[in-house]
Amino acid sequence: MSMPPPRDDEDNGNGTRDTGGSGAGCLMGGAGVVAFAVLNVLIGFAALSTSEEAAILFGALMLGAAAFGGGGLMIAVGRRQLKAFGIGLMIGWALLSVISAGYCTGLNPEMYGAH
Amino acid sequence: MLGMRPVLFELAGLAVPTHEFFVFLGVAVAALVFFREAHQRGQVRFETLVVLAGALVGGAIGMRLSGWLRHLDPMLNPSLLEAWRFGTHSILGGLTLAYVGVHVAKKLIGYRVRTGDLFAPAVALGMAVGRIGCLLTEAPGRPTGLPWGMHAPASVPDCPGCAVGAAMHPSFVYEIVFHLAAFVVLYRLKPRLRHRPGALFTVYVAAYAVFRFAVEFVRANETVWLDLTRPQWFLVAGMTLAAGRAAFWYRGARREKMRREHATAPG
Repeated sequence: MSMPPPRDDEDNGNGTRDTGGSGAGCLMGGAGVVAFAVLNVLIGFAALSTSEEAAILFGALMLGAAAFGGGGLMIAVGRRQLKAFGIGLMIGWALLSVISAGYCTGLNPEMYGAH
Repeated sequence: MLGMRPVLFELAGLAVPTHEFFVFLGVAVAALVFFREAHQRGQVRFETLVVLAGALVGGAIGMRLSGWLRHLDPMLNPSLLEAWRFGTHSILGGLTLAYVGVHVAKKLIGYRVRTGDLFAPAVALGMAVGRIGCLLTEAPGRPTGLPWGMHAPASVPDCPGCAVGAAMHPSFVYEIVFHLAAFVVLYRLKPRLRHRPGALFTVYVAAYAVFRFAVEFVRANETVWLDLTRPQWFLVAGMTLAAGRAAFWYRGARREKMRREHATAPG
């Protein structure tokens, strides 16, 4: 007879094991990351093509709204898969901010003429 | 002489910056280790994804805002916009706000399971990878006469030792070695600390705080007061908190041990 893998027992009765759907959840999370990246490319190109600081700021706000506003709404009211997608949007925002030093998401002040 | 590479390679005409590439690679490696740990502990669930998101969002913001700590004198603090620029390479700021992000995320969803032990080995390995980018782009360290001192081109920014052709401490190599060793040690400690949730995380944070404080003496960062650098002053506060948490954990462990001895005592 095989024994189940050992697990932490400090749940305090609060954590429930997700015995099903965790793989689908991770896939939806990944889809959220990819979706944000695509959105970032579209909004980024649109904003940067104008070379206007106001447009860049607007694009940054739109991306933030998509990640945290849209993602937050999905987490609040959506079913499990949609919640994971919303989390993925936020993770996508964070990853792109980190790897681009804020340029992809419009966070870097040098994009706004700060010296 | 170490060849500095501000641009790692070009992809479809776009220059891929070395530092940001290895930061991304480090984050990716850390995420993989995090999920592996979560799977081994039976904690792969939606709440874990939320916690990870909290860490990433907090870390992304922390790396930009930590410029506020650039000056000891609050009056000399850069403006908010300047802080965003200075915070590009701040690991301590990123780690601190990642920690805050985790707690905020857990509070928002009411998740009380300890998750620090999932992060400890992940952060260790991720840092080892991420520091490769620093090794290839930043000033190596302070001048030294040790045989393993390294040279770097005079073109490296904020590097007085580079400008004069001095051999310098390979401080990022020290840090990469530390994090790789920490990763191995954490895995060896995991079975022994399984029944002390959060202990693995405390061990890693305390060890890194002490190491980072020490390695700052050979890094090329500017000293601001009493010959200590900004990260060192930040770590003084951090180590105080870590010592407090370690003392709390030790007291808890002793109390638990006495409780078990009392429970199993004959009669």
